[in-house]
Amino acid sequence: MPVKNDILTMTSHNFQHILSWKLSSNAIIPTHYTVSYTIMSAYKEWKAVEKCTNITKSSCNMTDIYETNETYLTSVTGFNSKKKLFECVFEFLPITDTILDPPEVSIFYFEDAINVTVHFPESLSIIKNKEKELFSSVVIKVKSHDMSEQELNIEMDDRENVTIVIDSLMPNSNYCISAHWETFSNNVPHSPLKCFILSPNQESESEEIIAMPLIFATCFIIFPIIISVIFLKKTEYICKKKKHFPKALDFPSIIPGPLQLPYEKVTRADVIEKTKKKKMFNESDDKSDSDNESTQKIENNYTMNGFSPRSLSQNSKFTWKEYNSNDSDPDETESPEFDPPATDTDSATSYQVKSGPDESRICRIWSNLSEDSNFSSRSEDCFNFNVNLSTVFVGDPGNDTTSEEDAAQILLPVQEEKINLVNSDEIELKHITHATCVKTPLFHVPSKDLWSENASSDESVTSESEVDLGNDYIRR
Amino acid sequence: MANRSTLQLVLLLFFAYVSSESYESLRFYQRRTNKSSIYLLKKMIGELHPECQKDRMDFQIPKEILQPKQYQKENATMVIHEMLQQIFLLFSSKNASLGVNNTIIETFLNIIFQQMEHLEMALKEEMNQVNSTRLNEESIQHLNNYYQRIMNYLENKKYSSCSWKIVQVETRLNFIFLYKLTERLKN
Repeated sequence: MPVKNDILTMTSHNFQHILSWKLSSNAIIPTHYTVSYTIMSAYKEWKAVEKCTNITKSSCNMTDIYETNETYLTSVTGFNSKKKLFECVFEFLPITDTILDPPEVSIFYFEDAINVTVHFPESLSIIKNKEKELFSSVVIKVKSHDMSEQELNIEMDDRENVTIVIDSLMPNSNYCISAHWETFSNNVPHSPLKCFILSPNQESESEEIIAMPLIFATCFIIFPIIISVIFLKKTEYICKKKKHFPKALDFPSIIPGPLQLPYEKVTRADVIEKTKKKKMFNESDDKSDSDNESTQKIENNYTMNGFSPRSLSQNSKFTWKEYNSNDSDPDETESPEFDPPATDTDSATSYQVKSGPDESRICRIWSNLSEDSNFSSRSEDCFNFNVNLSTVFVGDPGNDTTSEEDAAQILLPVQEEKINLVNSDEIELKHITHATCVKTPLFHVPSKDLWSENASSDESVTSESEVDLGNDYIRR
Repeated sequence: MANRSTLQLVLLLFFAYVSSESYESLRFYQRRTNKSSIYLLKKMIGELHPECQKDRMDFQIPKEILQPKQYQKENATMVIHEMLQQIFLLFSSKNASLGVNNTIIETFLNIIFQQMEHLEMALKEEMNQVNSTRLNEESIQHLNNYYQRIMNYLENKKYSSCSWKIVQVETRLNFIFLYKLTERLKN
């Protein structure tokens, strides 16, 4: 509460003294004011404040006038020209009448105890060194849930901050903490109440400390998540970019039937397992009949515009069985079929390759892929296989000039899942994993002879345009 | 021989511990009582009438009161005791309660009396210690002369209300310095 009477008001805050006055509206308002002062400890004359002599404003800063421990009499006189209209006098002792800012309190509370830290506010940084005795002791008031109060004294002892522990508190109870300076000052404001509830198994923080867990959570949880997302994005594990493949490689998801380019005929290729056939030729003269038969069959297939993989021996892992779409095969009724393309290869047979000791089927492989055709895969029983070109000789079955030797080169490698169309003598092709049942694999041209054979064949696949799918793929 | 010196050392440490504890409690107590005394004096003073300005007096307060930082805690205790004793005698004189609620005066005197008792207990421990220091006789004389001047002033002013107002203002200043002197009691 500032010192005031009806007219004068002394507002003193942290030894900053502002004297102000205000007359009632009914009174005659003076034109000038003069502030004077004297002390009580000696018989001395009144002295006018230099900065507040004949002033028109209604306030005067007395900070530089007053000494801390002296009792002053202060007078404010109002004049109208030279006539004194009013004079007010009041007593003021700065050390007891100034209002000091309360100490600042920080609280950190546990289950049944609290840590209270008291420190100086910034506004008292200068004063605390001049009047140390005023700030030597702090009173902490603890108000409990049952409205009882407890006061604790803390000695600052010239320290900037002091921390005490208040224990033996009741859990699940509400407490409020405030602090004030223990001085002889008439007005001792208390710090704002800080209330909290002690809960079991709870370690709570003051408002200053609660920010730390948030900072740690941000650093150690959110940042790693952000970095992980960025890494996954970079590696395209998520948010995969749409790669723009050449149109020829743009396979649709549904393959309705056999692949067919409208402008190309389907060319059949006989695929014969190469290595095994060689062995057969060298070792099994006894089986020459069957082999010959199969070979012959192969040859026939050349003319028949179809191909059938040839099983090398009974012991081979693959058991090939020729399957004609027009024939009924009770053993293979479960296997799905593909409709043969509407070409002059009506007699083309389709086969599916199936690993294991069971009857295997050979999926038809078309050499051309229609860009507009929709494919649907019904090859639940089909395996995608790759034909190793190194073990096969791909030729136009319509070409009679295909030599037996060349035909013998077409061999299926002994592999369960992958059949690579690879010419081991020349170029090694990458394994093609796409289903050959419904998709057209991309043949590799093993030699110039193949081209010449295909070119001269009337039944060869003719293409109006070349499909350039890279250096490793066939040009038609 | 060795046992005797050891015993003296133990006793010295014991008294030092007791005295330090007693000084801490004394400081705590003195701080509270001085605060109360200042409040009561403000009550006595009330509103200063401008007519009392003519009775203002410079009692020439001695440097022993004005410069409390010069004292060690033992000497500060003696100065405090001497001042309290003189103030007690001052406010026990004639017409001290003139224009003042008598209850305030009685409360004020009771507080001073209790303060002196606490100080005397601390002073007795100081007297029993080896190498105890005593306050300079000249300093005590200065304090005595100061309070005698106040007494003479009251007598000259015939214990008027304005003279008592002036004395109350001066005593309030005494207790402000006493409050600062009390801080010298800490270790």
